[in-house]
Amino acid sequence: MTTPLSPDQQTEPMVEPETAQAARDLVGVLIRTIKQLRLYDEHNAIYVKALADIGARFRAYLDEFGELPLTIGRNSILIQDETLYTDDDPKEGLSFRLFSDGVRKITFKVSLPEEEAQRAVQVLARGGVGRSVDDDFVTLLWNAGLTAVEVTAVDDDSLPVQELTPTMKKDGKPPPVEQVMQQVQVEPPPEQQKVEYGIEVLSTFSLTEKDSAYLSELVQWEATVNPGKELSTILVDVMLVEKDEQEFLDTFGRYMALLTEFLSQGRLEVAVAQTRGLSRLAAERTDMTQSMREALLSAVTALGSPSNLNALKAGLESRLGEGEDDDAAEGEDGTTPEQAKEEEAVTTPLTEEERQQILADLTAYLGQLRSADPQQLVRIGAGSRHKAVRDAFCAQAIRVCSDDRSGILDLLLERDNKVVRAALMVLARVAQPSELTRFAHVGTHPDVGIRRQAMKAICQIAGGAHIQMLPYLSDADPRIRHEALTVVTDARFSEAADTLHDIIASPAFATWDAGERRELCTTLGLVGGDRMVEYFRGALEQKKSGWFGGGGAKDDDSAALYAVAGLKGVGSAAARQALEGGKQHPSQRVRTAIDKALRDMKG
Amino acid sequence: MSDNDASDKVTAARGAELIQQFFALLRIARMYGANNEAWTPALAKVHKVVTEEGGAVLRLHDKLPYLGDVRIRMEREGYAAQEGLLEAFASHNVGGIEIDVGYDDEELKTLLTAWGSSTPETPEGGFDFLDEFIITSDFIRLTRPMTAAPTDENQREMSKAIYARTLSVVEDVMDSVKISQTLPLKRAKRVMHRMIDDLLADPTNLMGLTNLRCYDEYTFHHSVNVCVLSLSLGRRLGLPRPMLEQLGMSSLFHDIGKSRVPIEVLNKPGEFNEEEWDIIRAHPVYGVKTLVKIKGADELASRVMTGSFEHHMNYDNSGYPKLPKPRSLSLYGRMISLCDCYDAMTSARVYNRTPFTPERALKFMLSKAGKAFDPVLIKVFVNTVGIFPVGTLLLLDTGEMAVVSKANDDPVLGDRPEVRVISDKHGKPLADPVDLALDEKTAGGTYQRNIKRILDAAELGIDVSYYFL
Repeated sequence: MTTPLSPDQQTEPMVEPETAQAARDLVGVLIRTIKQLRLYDEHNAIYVKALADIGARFRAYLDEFGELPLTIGRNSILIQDETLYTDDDPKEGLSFRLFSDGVRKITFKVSLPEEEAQRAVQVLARGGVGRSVDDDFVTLLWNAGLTAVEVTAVDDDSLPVQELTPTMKKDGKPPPVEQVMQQVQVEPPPEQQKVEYGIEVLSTFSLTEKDSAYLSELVQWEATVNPGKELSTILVDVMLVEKDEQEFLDTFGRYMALLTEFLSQGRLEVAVAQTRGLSRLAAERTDMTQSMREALLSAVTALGSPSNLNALKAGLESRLGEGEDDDAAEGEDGTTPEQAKEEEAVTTPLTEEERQQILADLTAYLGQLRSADPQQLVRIGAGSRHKAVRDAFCAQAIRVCSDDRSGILDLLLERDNKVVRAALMVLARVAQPSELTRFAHVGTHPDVGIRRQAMKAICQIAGGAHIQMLPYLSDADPRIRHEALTVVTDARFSEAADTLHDIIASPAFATWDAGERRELCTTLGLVGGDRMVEYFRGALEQKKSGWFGGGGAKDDDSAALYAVAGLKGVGSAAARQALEGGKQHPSQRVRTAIDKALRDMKG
Repeated sequence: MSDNDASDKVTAARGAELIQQFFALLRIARMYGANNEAWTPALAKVHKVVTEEGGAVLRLHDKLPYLGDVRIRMEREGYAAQEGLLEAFASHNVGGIEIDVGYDDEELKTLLTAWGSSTPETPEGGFDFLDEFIITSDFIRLTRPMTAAPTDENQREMSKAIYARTLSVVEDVMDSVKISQTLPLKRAKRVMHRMIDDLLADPTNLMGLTNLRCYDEYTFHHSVNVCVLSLSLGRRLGLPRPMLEQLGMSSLFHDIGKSRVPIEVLNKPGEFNEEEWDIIRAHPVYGVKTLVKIKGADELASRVMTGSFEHHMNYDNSGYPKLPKPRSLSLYGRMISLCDCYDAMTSARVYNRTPFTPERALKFMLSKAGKAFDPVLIKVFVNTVGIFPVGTLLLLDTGEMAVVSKANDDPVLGDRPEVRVISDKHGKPLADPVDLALDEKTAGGTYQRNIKRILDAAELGIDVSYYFL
């Protein structure tokens, strides 16, 4: 708090008005920047730009006005007498938080490089958010290694500081030097106290190049230690030597609690190390008591429990950021892939390399969950916004899925579309054709993604076309229809003929694209064979009954054109003959199509 | 409280009042010039303080305010006044103002009006400008800032304050662990940062203070000493500040597991029986359990845990706790192990009142290189503490007695440390010990002084720590 003067005394500034205004502007930008930095992740373009701007602003101020000594008041930031900023919220503002931590002055020196200004601003932005209870602005600013930012803080005087006293004498009297000197000069030096250190001995302590390289490696190694992994290793070591059963169980309990904590933080590299630690414990601790073994077994079983899996998923979401939305990624919520990519760029706080590492750790972690319930893996994994995470959960569900797939099949009845989709992804790999009857209702599911996934799954399970996929031939979504048709075509699936025939007769057929209609007729010809020749011949001869919902053609020659495509699909002599018979068709377009079809069939 | 303490408190309070009033007067001068009634009450308050003190010498010493020799500690509310005055002093290169009883308010007003309303191009020019206004005064004088020598003294005081505060923090943290199962590390971090800054600037003072020991509070002193030694070793290795922080905290609390060891075992004067040894050997594991119980997955606590767990393990894994499979020891663990052993060997303990001399301790440790200690790291350790470590008592060939105060920075001149001479060549103790470097040569190119022999300070009853306070 500044020393208050009477109001009239405060009207005149002590600093040059120009300087004060520039400082005020700079602090204003600083406050805005801090807000932006709190909103975005550090890889975000807005974050990067804001940081670069504030660095440049600081530099410009220091170049023009010199050192910037900011006094921190309880709720205001000042330069000498001049208030530059006042907290909007008296309990949450930057000034209050700095003041509460004991910071009384921050001086930005003229030599401040932009990069260091940026670092200081980052600390100010993050200082109050999610910091350890053992940190405050003073410690955080120190940790930032700032050389041109001087922080003045009040000392923590709450601890009594004892006066230092010499080790042996507390009476303040000097040591008995004179007496000792008389003694020393009289007594010959004891043999063992001869000075032994000559220059040749000293050379022992010179570091060789090899020593320096060794030390450098040691320092580097320490600098890259992952504290969480280190903690896990130490705890396993402690449990390996613990003799007391209760102490072992206590430590083990904490170890498992830490595992959940690391999972919920998305620190999978540590979680992986911890699960490996459990294996190490099981292998190396051969003298475990019954209780110890039970605890270990129960813990291993619990690794794949819903609570752990949920913690894992939550942690991943926090590490990976909001990420791409499932539907956006699939392009099924109307979001273009470009938009989805852009959104990903804005909300992902990680580099691609970091992201890949996390996903690799996820795979490694899940890979150790041998006893996890595949249904839970699918259900919980499906909740992730990240496709890669959902895929990883599904992959593990596939790995641990037993012959009893009822749990996964039950998921097809779930209301959560993501769960159903994930279940289909797993079933595609594990289900048997005999189980496809359980898929019947999915064909009419309102979610397009589910229908698509289901169609793919059915084909995958059946090893090609299957009767369960016939509804997809008339799906409302053209992509699904196209994929279904492709499968039917590839498989020459004759059981689809009646369905295709019915589709042509349906009113919806008229709404399809011309290309799609033509493709369907070709497929019908292909799978129906000669029994479809008469049907197509009728259309070619303008007997259009049963086409386009039983009414007439959309235009005069379209049914004939599709009939040509159908006959080409049949491809037999009878089909060729029917085409020959249509050469007198009044429509030039139809005649041209017939000529082309006949040429193609000959080829 | 002694009479002196009480008197200092009164002086400090008057100093705070003086700072407040000077700051107000400078502002009045700047805003209103010489003709304003606001001058009167503030001048009267200054007059009162000067009269009560029998004259006032308000000065800055390394940016800290003093009235005479008493440090003025401002309350939080007075901080802005202190800062304002500090800026005013700096802008005119003023180190202090001396006011004798009998001065005239007008003299002071003239000076402060000039001071408050002037903006000199250079601080030195500012000093000369102000000096003109009091050149004829017999009662008021300005002094320039003090330079090097007092700063060294101040540095020493700062180091002592840091050491003392660290000691208090360790004690407080250990008590918290024992009593309330909490581990408040914020204060420890703050003091650690100050210690690191101090050591990076010059490790001499803190290294000297590692000669302080206390039988009753051995663990606390030992913890601080191991911390200072570890940080000095880390400094020598060129560790960056964040790593020094981790190392410092790890070494400061390496014995945190001892908070679970019964005091009667810790302070047992005789030999330990097997059961007691088991308890003592468990303290690294106790440390881990304590830390994980209180701090969970906290990253810094994890690093502290490493030091606690590994500091008795030995380079060849021959120490304790004994693991089924060898563990690759961390850098911090190896460093703390060295410093822990050195400080323990050179300290008198309840069960061993005669400690090793520093050089004997080193000799012993060197014999364990590659076994108990990392063979390369121990070289750096020896270079850090010196062939004649700080606190070694020496007899010089001049007949003088000296205490090693600082290792020679050049490892090749490791046998020529800096010393504090405590007696003259006739054996008479020096009232003011003299600091010398043993690598100083005569005009003829020979060394002025040589080490004749090492003396066993403990055996001779010389408390070397006396010379570092």
